[in-house]
Amino acid sequence: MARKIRFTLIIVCAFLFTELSAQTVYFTGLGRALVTNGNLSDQSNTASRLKSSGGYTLFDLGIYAKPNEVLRGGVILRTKNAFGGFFGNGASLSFRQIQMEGLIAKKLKYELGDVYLSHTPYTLWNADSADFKYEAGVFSMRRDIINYENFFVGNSWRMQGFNTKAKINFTKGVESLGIRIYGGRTRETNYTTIPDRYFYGGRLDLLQSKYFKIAGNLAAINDIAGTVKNAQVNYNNMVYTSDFAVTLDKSEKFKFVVNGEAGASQLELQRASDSTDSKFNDFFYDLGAKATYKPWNLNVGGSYRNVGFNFNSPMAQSRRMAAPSDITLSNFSKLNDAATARPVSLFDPLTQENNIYNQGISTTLMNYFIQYNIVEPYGKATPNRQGFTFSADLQDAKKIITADVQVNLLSEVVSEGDTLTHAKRNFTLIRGGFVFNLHNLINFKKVIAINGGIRRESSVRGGTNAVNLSSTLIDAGLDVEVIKSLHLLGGVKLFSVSGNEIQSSRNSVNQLVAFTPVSFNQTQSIIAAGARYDYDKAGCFFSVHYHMVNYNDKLITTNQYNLNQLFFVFGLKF
Amino acid sequence: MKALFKFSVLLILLAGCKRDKVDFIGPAYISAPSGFEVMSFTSSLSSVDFTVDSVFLNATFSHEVTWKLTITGKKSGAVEEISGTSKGFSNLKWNGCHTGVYFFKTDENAIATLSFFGTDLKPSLNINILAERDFSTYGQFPFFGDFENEAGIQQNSIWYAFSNPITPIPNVKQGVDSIAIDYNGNLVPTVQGKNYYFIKGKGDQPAFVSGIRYDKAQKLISPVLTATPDNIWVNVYIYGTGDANASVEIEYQEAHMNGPVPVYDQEIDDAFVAYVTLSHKGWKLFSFKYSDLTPSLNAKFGGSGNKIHEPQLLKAFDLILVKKSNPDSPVELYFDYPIITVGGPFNPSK
Repeated sequence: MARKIRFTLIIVCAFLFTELSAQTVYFTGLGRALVTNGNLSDQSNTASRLKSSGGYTLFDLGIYAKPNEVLRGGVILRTKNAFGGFFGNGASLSFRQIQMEGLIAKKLKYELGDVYLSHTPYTLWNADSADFKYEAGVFSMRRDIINYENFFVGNSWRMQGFNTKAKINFTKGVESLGIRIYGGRTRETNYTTIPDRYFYGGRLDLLQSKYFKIAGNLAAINDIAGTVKNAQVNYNNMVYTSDFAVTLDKSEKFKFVVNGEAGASQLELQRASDSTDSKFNDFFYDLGAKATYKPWNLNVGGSYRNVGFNFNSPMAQSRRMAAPSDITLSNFSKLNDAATARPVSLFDPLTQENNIYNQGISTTLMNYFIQYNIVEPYGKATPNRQGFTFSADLQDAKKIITADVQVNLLSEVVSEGDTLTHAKRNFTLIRGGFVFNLHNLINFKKVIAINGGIRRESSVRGGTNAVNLSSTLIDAGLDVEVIKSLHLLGGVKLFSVSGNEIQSSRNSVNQLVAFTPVSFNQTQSIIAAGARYDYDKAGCFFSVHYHMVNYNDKLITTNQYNLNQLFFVFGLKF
Repeated sequence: MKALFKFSVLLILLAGCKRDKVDFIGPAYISAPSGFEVMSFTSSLSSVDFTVDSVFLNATFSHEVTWKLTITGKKSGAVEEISGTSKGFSNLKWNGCHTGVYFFKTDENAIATLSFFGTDLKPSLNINILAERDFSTYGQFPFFGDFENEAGIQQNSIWYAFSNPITPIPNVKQGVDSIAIDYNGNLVPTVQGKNYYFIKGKGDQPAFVSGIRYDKAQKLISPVLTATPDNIWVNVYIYGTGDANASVEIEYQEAHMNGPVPVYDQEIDDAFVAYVTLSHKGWKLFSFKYSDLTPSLNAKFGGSGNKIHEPQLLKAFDLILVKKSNPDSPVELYFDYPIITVGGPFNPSK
């Protein structure tokens, strides 16, 4: 470790010496010190509570060199020391990000290395199906840490490859023509039987005017023949779509937009072991309209979508959360004197940084916790869904209130497993919430904000194989700035799920191969309170919270526990 | 307005897109209706020695339904699953096989549970396993390859822990274990029997850590493999911790008759290699077709032969633990039950 630190310091110093003299280097940084202390009581340990503590200090130093106006290279170095580390024991040094970017001929912008990519919800999209838009600050602060640690930025996937884009402006006929091409590698060969697997995609968009735009999109994943002598499989998937938007904006009060995306997928998998060649093609469309009432900044919209049961778009359907079998709980992994595994609660994805999230593209539809994602486990690109979505959102000019609501009334395109009655599931997903900034209403300088949110999901099917599962997640939060920059925070999450469903298993070409019945009757609650002090600089803060978690599974009584956690974090950013 | 009209037409066209008519997707199943009953559920034996016997299960139901029989080992966590759609079954045979990765164990209680869609009814019965099924006959199984006899590993000149360049290799522990704790702090369970073999540490070189060799002196892998290379599979169970820095090279070595007895000469004979990155989690069976193994890239270690797969000359094999990307980070390997099969990969579910 010492040798590594010395080596890195020499490189950094040499780099700085040459580059600083030319005034072409600048720095960014993010530091964090985090400590947790928790206790757990379950069915067997009520007399002697299980306790745990942990934490770390880390610093991410971004060093960027900009030799001229059109070229920039950067690296983010991470030093991290586990809580309890002493004289470097437990410390680590790693590269968090390496990236280069530039501009060619003032037109073509390119990025190489670690790039953040998103395209459309049906081609390349990191869907966040967890619905935490209106959770309290005590929770969102922790989720921001999770997102940073797992490279989740908006709806982008962090990938290794390149991303280029160019835009040509016109003076007549059309306003501009944009082109974008990206690519990289999703899987490395094992030199024996697994070939290199690459992804690539692109977009050609034409902006006719502010009233009309249309684009063509392509996103594909291919195994590269010849990277190994005897490939076990040869995987090829291509998604091609078109999206458009027509805007009518000639009134002072109203604006109307009609938009949509439609396309198709082609999947082919050849397998050497049994000489099979599986091909699946399908299509989707998603068309909608939105009206805006400008004086209130109120948007009302509706759309209809139909996503085929064989629509395969791995880069849009990969889940942010890892498959249940790949999740390892690092904090209190066992219950009842280590006799049973602790079930994953809503608190774990909020607090556990590693071994719970997926950071790669999966060519098969990943398994998931059905109780937490009943309707859209793979985002809007979830296959075998059709139906209407209605939405409304509002933000007043004074930012007193921000609110939205979305209602999804969906059903399956084709019945799953019901040979006799062919009954299809009907899905309902209602989600919405608000932020009420009371201080803006009463013209008070310090923040007084209340927020609330709800998500209600259900899946219902009649016929021979009836299912009926529903869940509700309620969020509420409070943020009161008691003295300048010192905020008192409070938050609640209440979750309940009950009923029965069928969990499906799929093979390597995403075909359903087995069903397993599952039943739920559980409630969960997280109650949290704390304080945050903001330093003058954005991103610099100190915060302390206390979280109380209750997990109550009424069907499996050994899966009942209480977990309390004290959380301390200091954040620094420049 | 013209544009709006055009896209209304487009919307109608898209809405008119049709797929081939499919009534349902996925495997068919029938849920239990109200009033469903399990009339009987019995086993031919309550205790079974799978080296000589099998268990036959019988059940009758009040209605035709989709059922699943799950037999779970209480100690091993091994699972055997059989399912069907019927009004029951008679003389359903269980010979000690398993559908999951874990093997059933000797002196273990297993519980056989029937479950159905649409009802919480789960009748079960116990089966005591007196002796586990012997899978070594499924292929060519190396002596002491289940690592149950730790003394046999150490005393007989068959398995050799690597000792180059010095003995023991610094910063490495290796041997037989049954309750090892991995670097993530998790217990490494046994996949088969009571033990497995492990190698862990940082070693003394940038990539190479250590390894173990199976080589029965003066003998080829016996009996000699006569099948063609594309009909022979090499198989081994390997435990992964998700560490992409850890990799194992499984190297199969052929020996030409350079003297009175076959001896693998690494500078003139062939070694064929399977590379496995240990980024998976838990136990997993890895199977490679012999003809898919790649010739060693190291001219001094098996890379100077004729590069023709000649399984009839197979003499020995090594498992070598290496660090892929970070020479300062220790790595670990746990493996068990290497076996060579003919006609297909090792399949303990049959």
